[in-house]
Amino acid sequence: QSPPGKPEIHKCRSPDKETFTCWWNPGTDGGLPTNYSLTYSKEGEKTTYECPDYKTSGPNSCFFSKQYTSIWKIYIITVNATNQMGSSSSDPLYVDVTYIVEPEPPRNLTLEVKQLKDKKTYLWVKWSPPTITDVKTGWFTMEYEIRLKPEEAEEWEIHFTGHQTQFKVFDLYPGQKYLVQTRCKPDHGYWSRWSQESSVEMPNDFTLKDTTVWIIVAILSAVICLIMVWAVALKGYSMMTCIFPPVPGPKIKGFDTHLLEKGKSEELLSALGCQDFPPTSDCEDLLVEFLEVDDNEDERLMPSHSKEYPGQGVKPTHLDPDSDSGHGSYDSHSLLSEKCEEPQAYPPTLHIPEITEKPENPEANIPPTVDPQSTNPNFHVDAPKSSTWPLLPGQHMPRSPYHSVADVCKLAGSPVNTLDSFLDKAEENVLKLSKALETGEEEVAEQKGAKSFPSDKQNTPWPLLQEKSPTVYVKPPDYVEIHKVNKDGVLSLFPKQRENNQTEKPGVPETSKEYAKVSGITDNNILVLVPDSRAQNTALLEESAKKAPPSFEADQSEKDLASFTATSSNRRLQLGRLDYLDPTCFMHSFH
Amino acid sequence: ISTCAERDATIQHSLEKLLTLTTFMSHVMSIETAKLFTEFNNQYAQGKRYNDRIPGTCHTAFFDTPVNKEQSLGSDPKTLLKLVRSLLNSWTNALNHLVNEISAMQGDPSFLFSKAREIQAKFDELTTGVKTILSMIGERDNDTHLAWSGLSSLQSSNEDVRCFSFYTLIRCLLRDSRKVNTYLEVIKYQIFNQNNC
Repeated sequence: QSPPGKPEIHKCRSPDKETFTCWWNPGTDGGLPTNYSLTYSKEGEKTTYECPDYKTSGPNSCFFSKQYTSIWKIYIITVNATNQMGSSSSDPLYVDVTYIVEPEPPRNLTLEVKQLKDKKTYLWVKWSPPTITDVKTGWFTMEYEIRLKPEEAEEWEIHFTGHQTQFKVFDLYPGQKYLVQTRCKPDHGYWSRWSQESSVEMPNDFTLKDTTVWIIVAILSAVICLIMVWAVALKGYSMMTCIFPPVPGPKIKGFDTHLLEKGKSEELLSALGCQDFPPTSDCEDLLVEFLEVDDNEDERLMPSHSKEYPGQGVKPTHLDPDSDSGHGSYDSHSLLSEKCEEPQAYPPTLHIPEITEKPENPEANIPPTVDPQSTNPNFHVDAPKSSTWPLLPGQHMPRSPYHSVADVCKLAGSPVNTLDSFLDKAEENVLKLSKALETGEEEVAEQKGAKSFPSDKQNTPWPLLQEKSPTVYVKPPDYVEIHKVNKDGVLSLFPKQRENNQTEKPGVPETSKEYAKVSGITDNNILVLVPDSRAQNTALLEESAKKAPPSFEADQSEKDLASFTATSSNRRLQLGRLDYLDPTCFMHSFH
Repeated sequence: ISTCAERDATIQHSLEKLLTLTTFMSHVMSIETAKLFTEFNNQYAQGKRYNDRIPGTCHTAFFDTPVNKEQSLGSDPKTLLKLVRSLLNSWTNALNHLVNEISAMQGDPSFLFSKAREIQAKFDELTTGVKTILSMIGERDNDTHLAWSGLSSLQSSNEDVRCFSFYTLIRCLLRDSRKVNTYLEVIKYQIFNQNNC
């Protein structure tokens, strides 16, 4: 038996920061019943108090309710042990309630497996604060932690979550079972115990389904790709077969032959077409030109001139006869020159035979009309020529006598009365001769004459002379031939025939023969033609002086000599036939 | 009633934001102070059984503060805010001395020094926040505070006395930081969740 041992205060804890409990360990009891008592005093107070409640918290404990709890004040706590032998006290413990807060674990721990939109699964952990702690009013602020592990594992994985009461855990293995716990701590106290375990099994089917789906998709796509490649390869081969056969196979040969043939034909056609069209056109043009040029140069010249130069076209038509007339003009020049010499030699003799010959002219007129009827072929042959000759003399005859008369008056100075009477007779004779020969031609001549007469009357004598001069130069040979025919029917016919022959022959003999005939006519016409010859001679001289240079004159003289030689032979024949030719021979001798 | 009358949409929104921020800062401050207290005990108080000695009295213990949940929730938010302001003002001078003197401790007090400076800065910010809130609810500023008179102990040549003085000062700082945090949480609840108005 001894006094009790020294007790020891074990710990003090407050679960809610409103009440707290202290526990102690008793010492030895000394073999006697021992009583324990807890006494405390507060900071700043001298009073000592005893434990308000020894029962609520169990044996060897003291419970301080809200009534006896002060926050932020230090409690000085001591435990005393007492028995019959004596008493002993524990060491004092200084307690600030804010430092001894240890809450209860969180409650309502819930685990839920969720899935995001991208098919990712996670574990959603939720819990609630402990019941007895008043977190809502701010008197308590709590922090939390969670821990989890696979069921078979030993180590926990801890996650601090702060003030929030939920947490998401990712990257967990599918098909695994996980254990989860949570705990809490006030800002200024101790961590609570871990809550009861909750477990959850991650869905294996779900993840497997996902993986299997993806695997299936991959496999199917691979298979499809292979099939496509294979199909393409087959098609490619088929295409190749389509292409290759033409090369070695007979069809290919056939195609080649056909293509070649077609190609050749096309080439030939195209070549022909290309070559033909331009060359054909060119050839045609060339041929046309060639043909036209070679075959019908004259015709081409005429139409070309007419087309290009209508006026000039008309002129050439005139020019062609002009060229012929030019030859005639040369002949007429020679003839006129001869006539000029003749009247100058024998003027008086020429006047007398003219008067005597005039009454014979009408008699001669009748036979010519009969002769043509008897000799139809001859007249047919002569018709075109005769038609030309009469027309021209018809036009020239009425004008020539006037000119001759005027010239005679001027030159001779004879009385006007006699000349007038001669002129009247001459006119009558001319008219009669023209009518008797050809009625149609006469009408034409009359028309032309009628026109000419009024012009002559209206115009002055000098202009008349100027205008008539070229016509006068052309008239003499035609008039001479006509007179011969009229006077001497037989003789006139023969010279005409000879003239025809001469026309076929060179022109030079023609000129000489015409001169001979004219000489005959001149015998009858000397009275009439002498003045014509004079006037013509003067005009010719003037023209020759104006136109002909010395060289041309020399050429003309040479031509005249040639003509003289030819005419000499003709004159011999004529001398045998006609008496009147003799004087002409003399004249030639004079030349 | 005057507090309710001062409310409107703009002030309500700004007040809520500011009070939430202030409360959070006090939370951080109390955590940092706890770290300082733990580190000091590990470095200078081990084996000295300071916990078995009668603790020194805090210079702010003389404020009439609510001592339990009922008293706290039963107080007017304006009263609690003014109490918080007084507590914070009372630590301005004490923290200056704590920072200055802790650097003179034996051994390597660099960690304690930096942590103390950090806590000092947070106290300044928190003080400014609380004053702004008070002005928003129409309370004019008041520099009520209790002076700290433990400088002679902090500078004592007796190492034991000096060390125990630091222990007491830091313990009191921790207690008051937790008080401030709890009171601000309750104020926030009262103003925005409990329709006293």
